Amino acid sequence: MVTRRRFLGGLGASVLLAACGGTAAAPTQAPAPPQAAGAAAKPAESTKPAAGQTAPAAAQAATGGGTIEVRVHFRQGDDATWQDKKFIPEFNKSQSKYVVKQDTLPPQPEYFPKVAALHATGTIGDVVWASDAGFHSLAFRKIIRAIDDLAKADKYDFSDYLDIGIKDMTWEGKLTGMPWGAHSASPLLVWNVDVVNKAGIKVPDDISTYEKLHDAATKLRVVKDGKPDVFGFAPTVGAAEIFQWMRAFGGSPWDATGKKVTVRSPEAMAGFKEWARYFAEDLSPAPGGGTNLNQLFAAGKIAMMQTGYSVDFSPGKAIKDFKWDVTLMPKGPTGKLPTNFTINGITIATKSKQPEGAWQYLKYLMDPDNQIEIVLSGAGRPAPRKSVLDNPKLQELKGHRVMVPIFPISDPWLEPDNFRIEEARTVVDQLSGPIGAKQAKVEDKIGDIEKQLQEVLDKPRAE
Amino acid sequence: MLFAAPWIVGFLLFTLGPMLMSLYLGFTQYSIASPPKWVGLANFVKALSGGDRLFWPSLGRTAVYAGVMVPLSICGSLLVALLLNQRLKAASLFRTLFFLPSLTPIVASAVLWRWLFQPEFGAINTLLGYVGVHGPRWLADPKLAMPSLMVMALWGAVGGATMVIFLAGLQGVPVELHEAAQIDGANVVQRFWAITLPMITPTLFFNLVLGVIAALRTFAPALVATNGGPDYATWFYILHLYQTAFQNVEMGYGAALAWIFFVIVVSLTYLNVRLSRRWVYYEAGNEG
Amino acid sequence: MSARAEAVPVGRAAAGGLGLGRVGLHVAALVLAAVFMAPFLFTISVSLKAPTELYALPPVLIPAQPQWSNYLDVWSFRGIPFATFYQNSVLIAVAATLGNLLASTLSAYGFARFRWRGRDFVFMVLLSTLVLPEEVVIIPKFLMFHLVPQALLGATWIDTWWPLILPAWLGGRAFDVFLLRQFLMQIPREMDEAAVIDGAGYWQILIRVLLPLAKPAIAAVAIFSFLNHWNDFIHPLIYLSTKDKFPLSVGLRWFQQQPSDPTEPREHMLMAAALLMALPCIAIFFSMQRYFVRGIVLSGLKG
Repeated sequence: MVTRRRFLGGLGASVLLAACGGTAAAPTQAPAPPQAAGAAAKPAESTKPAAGQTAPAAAQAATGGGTIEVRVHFRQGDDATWQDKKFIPEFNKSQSKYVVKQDTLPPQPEYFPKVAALHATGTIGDVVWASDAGFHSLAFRKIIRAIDDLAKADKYDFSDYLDIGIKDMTWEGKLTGMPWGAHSASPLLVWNVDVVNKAGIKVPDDISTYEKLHDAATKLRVVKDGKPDVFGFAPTVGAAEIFQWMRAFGGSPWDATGKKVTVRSPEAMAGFKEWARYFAEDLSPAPGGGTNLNQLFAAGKIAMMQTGYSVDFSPGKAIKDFKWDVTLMPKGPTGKLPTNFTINGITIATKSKQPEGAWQYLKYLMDPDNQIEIVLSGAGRPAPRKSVLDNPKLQELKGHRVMVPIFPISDPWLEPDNFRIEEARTVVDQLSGPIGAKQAKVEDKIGDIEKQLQEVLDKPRAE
Repeated sequence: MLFAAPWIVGFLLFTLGPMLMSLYLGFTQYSIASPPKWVGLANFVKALSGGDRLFWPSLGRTAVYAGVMVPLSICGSLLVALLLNQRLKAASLFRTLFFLPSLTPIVASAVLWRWLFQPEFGAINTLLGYVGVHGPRWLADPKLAMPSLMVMALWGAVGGATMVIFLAGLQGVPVELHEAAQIDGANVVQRFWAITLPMITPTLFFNLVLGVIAALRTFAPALVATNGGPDYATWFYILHLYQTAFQNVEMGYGAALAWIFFVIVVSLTYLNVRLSRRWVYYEAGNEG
Repeated sequence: MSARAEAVPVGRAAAGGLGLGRVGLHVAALVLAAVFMAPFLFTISVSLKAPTELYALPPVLIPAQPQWSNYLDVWSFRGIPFATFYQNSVLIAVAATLGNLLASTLSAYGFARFRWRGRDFVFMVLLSTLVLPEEVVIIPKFLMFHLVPQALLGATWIDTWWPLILPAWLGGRAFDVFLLRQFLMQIPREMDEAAVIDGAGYWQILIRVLLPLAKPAIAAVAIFSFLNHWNDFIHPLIYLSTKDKFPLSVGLRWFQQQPSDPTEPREHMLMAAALLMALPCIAIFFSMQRYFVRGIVLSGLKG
């Protein structure tokens, strides 16, 4: 029998749980000592249910020289797996004080909320991967900390670094992360040499303006049975790229304060329309719907394509004997390239108990030799430091060679004042769908885009 | 009773407790890193009053999806089950073949269907091209994205658990009834309407209830195949909830959305149960 | 449920009359199966492709040289610990399924065979949880699995397997309790009473009398429960953060190219991994289907 008392007891327990909701995040206000002690003991404890089945802890102990644990959070990706395979074992062997362990978290959009949850529950580790898309929000909420003091104490030499990289990782005047990997988004134009030659155009042709790009794309297009068989030019698709086109034409989705939407400015509209033109005129395959631009490009169905740093590996290395070349995209009327300087940063958690150990590992990841190794493997992007960017082996990569010189003149990372860049992109991604599908013009959609973007910008910062 | 205690404890701990907590969060503003702030009914007002421009459209889209998918998947599953219930050779092989799609991990089937639907060079439009039809843009077309997702979902659903449960129900239909009707000169179709269908109404009801819930909860295909687009065409309710909670990090509002959803689902199920009394046929039994 | 159930023949229905009709049925089944299998066969074909064939147009339907080695390479592809994922999936799914079986059998016994105050009310609550969308409780459950063990044991359960396994041991899924309860209810009470006369207690009745008779239903619950835990994606995603603890459902995402990965295409590996993941489910379904179709039919799904 369920006695009434037992039943009420159960109810009491659940009310208690409900009450816990209110105190859930209490530790954030003041990292209370008992909480901290509990969290410190946690890593060892938490593996218990899995212990016996998973051997990583034991394996770690066998390879590492040190005993002080430094926990690293990365979002899922090739660079995270690469760390597990190479950097962490090697770092652990290289010194005798620390032992690094990695917790790989899911990719976005779950990554940053999960970091926040680890912070709120006091279970966060020491090193936190933070791309630009979450870096400023984490810094604002004090989930990650300034690292000036650690660098200074260590007399770390920053002279090798590009200013734009250091600036990107600075929050409220303090260096808050190390610029681990950098790129300028999609300023590259890649050519399928065979397809282009077949149309009687030499590579690289003069495409210094958007008019010339459009002319070349029209010339390169092949129509078979009333259907496009080869597309002339494919712009990169998605909100981030539409923003880049707006900026190349001298506009911007929002003003410098990051609070007021400016998609209707003549410059922004000109960039947006130029982007849309390729879909309206069937010069490019429709975005979305399973279209893999790399695939179509490699298969000779797209003659020219806008692309980014990945070009050296996909399609560059994916297809054997594939002939391709790469140049910069044309400059817009104001002389700007479509860029958005982007950093994958590595930072240190405010609640880290081992900031010194975390710093040591950060330094290790920033090491030029390690950098070159991971870039060549295709798993990472180069740090904005001269010794890495100018490395002869990396200079052999065609895309790298073309993109790196424009790092210093790239537009800085673009985000609204409230950091809600993903939300802003979602609005434009969704609303630009009918434009790509030739069911609407930019003019039809710009009113909605303006209104909904402004709603996103009007939201408060997440605390 | 002692024996039922595990379930009761589990229910209190893992269902009722979290539900109350979620209800509490629904009245707060909560972005994880700092404690929840009590905001009263603001979250619920925001949703229902149109303050969230995606709330009603996502609910409407989910209703349309469920309205189409529930009948289609139930009829489809029933048809497959009827077919498999004939004494086929290699029946167990056939059952497995039809069940296979539902075992394909969603991540893989999304990649697969995106390839098949690719507008210019995908398999489906290539086949249509052979018969002189200029295929549409499927997932890239705001008007066709939802029907395309439905095709993808039907592929996974028709031979799945629903079908297996129908199969079980069909095997409970006494053969004697059919034999008697056959002697009376009833043909296959007449026998289906007069005997099979009434006999399996409890199974039908069970599948209907669970089918409605599953359709309303649809989320993964939209997330991995279309990301809710284009133009919010596949922005379903649970996808909206997910984006609110994880992309926008508005956990309090997300909890409110979850509770609104819970109320909707419970009401619909209650309605289903009420209506079922008119058409579900139970044999007399020692129903407890 | 009526006692008629015992007389139900398996795999029986109205015989389709003429031989021609039966041939037609087989043709229909074959055609339909082919339509259903086409995308699945395509999956197999992709899993056997060389990376250079992935991007070929028109698509390569049958790989020039089937890369069977993909099925070996997938275990070490780009350092992804596929074997660990696999092992974790097996352990989690088996542990949770065992718990689910035990707990739902006991609960079903309690609901089916004993009268206690509030029983019918509690049973209605149980049925209503069938319609509870999991989304409602995910956020609080995450907090709870952190706070309660932290307070009681001094260690969080986030990033452990407890949140994935423990709920199964405490009651499990309402669906399973419901199924088993329906099954137990139609076993004649006289059998219990006979055992009581022989001096059997409640436990002995359950173990010696009811369980042997309930085998098909237990098999059904075991399989549904295993498939459910095997494919569960959202819970491991929420609770786990260390890669070495991930099951396949979450680990499979490593084979999906992230926009941030500037590397070669890997869809062939994704498909090979997906098929390897589906393999145990296919095997279990194929070998046990007869059993569990029977289990469901006998428990007579009635509201």
